[in-house]
Amino acid sequence: MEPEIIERNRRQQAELYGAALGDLVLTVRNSLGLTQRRIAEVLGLSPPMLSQLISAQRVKIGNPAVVARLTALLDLAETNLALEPDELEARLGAVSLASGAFTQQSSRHAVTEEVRKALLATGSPARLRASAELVEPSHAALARLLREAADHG
Amino acid sequence: MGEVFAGRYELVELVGQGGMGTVWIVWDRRSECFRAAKVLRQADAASLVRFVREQSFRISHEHCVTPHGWAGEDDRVLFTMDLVRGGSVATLLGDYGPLPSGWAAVLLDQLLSALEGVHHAGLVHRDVKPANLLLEPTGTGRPHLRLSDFGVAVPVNEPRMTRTSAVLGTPGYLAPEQLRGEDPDLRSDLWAAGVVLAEMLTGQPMRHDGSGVPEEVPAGVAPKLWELVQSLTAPGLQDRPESAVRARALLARTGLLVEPPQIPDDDGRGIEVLEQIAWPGPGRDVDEKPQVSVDAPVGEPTLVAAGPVVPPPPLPPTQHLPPTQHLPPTQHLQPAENHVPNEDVRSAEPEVGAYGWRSGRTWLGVVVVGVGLVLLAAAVMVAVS
Repeated sequence: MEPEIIERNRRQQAELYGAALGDLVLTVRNSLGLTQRRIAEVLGLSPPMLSQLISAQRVKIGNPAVVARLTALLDLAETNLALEPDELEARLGAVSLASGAFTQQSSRHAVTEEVRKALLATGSPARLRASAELVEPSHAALARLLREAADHG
Repeated sequence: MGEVFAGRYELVELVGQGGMGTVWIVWDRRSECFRAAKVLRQADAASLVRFVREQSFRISHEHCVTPHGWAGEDDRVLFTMDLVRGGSVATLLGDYGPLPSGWAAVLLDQLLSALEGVHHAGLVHRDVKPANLLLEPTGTGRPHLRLSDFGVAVPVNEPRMTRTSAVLGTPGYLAPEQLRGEDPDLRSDLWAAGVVLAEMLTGQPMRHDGSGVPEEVPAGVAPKLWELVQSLTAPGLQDRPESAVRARALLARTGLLVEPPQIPDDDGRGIEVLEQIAWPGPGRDVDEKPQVSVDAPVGEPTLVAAGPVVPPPPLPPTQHLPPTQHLPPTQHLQPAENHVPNEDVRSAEPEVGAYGWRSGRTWLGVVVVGVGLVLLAAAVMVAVS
């Protein structure tokens, strides 16, 4: 495919998903240490389809449930928590269950809800707010999540 | 070099894994071509072995994938079949979510056509679900569905010797009568086809409790197709279409089915059946048409005609062809491969697949000529007396 077409497709992906899918998948790979094959599995996409999307030969994710799962997966990657392997697997399992009609809107919330609960279990809302202050400078997203958890506690 | 099964099939690449066994691309040393093969434990293989052996169960149908032959080794059995490389309807649903009406209609029509063939052979498939509806890698062309996995298929009118408590099949696709453990009925496959149609239209697996799918037409779904879903998944057998033929007629009446060679409308969604499994081997062009089935077409009587009556002849030594581009680089033909049947091969009866189609043909020829001679002799005797 022509380089300019690929470039145009990447721009269209950025409009739709916040960034080109190749970049988003790279974020997930680096943050969670997953292979491309495993990412395809968690998203519920076939490996050749994921490959087409990453290389921007194709612009749109056809299955709306996959968009929901990608959002959940990016949330998980953003939280930047150092997860134990079995804990990571459990989170990935939750991501792969996020699907279609009734979870499409709520998957992001469902996953963050789980994370909030887990955070609350580690300390009181006051302590979570204190932790948020500490990590704020380097991990803004994590600080936000800590505060959200404190607010819900 | 990969493991060699029964002295003939070199396991080249694992392409699938399921509860029942594994699917491989194998290099068939005798026919010198790649094939797909399913390797099962012997305990799980009984139904398929029967499938290959019994003439009446042989189904030659463009929308079915049935085993060509089999070979046994230790406690495992290998079945050769066509390699279908475009994934399955489950893959398609994962990639695209709910399918456009035209696509769902064409895929259902091909599934029903396959079921016509299966039912005509007197069998109930009993495991119709998206993952068993394989697709040829047709790209943006007209899709080509092939019903696969006949591992739990049973004859429709056969009284069952044992009533096992285990209900075979896949939860979610089992009709109410199957859950109750009733005798196999063709219309149970139609139920499953209805559930598959609902899933293709909504992109969601139906969580049904045996009472049928929701009556209300889901958003964005063609009401006429949802009516068909309702009819196929009617809880009572007598309320479903009586046959796959009848169900196809109902589908045709919706006006949503486009005839071949037309490609169903994808509503601009760029639906494409991608190649999920690449052909192995170096220098192999993707577009190159691989030699998949050198076996006689399924259903041709040659392979089973000789049956246990005539012992197979010793095979003449195979011509040792110089390696071609079809051969993987690790391939070294051993003289030993010509010993058939291999001593390790355990099979209760002459192995159907292992003799290859050429000798199968030869034997049909021998049998036909033999029968002809007997008839001729009888005719002469009648004439003389």
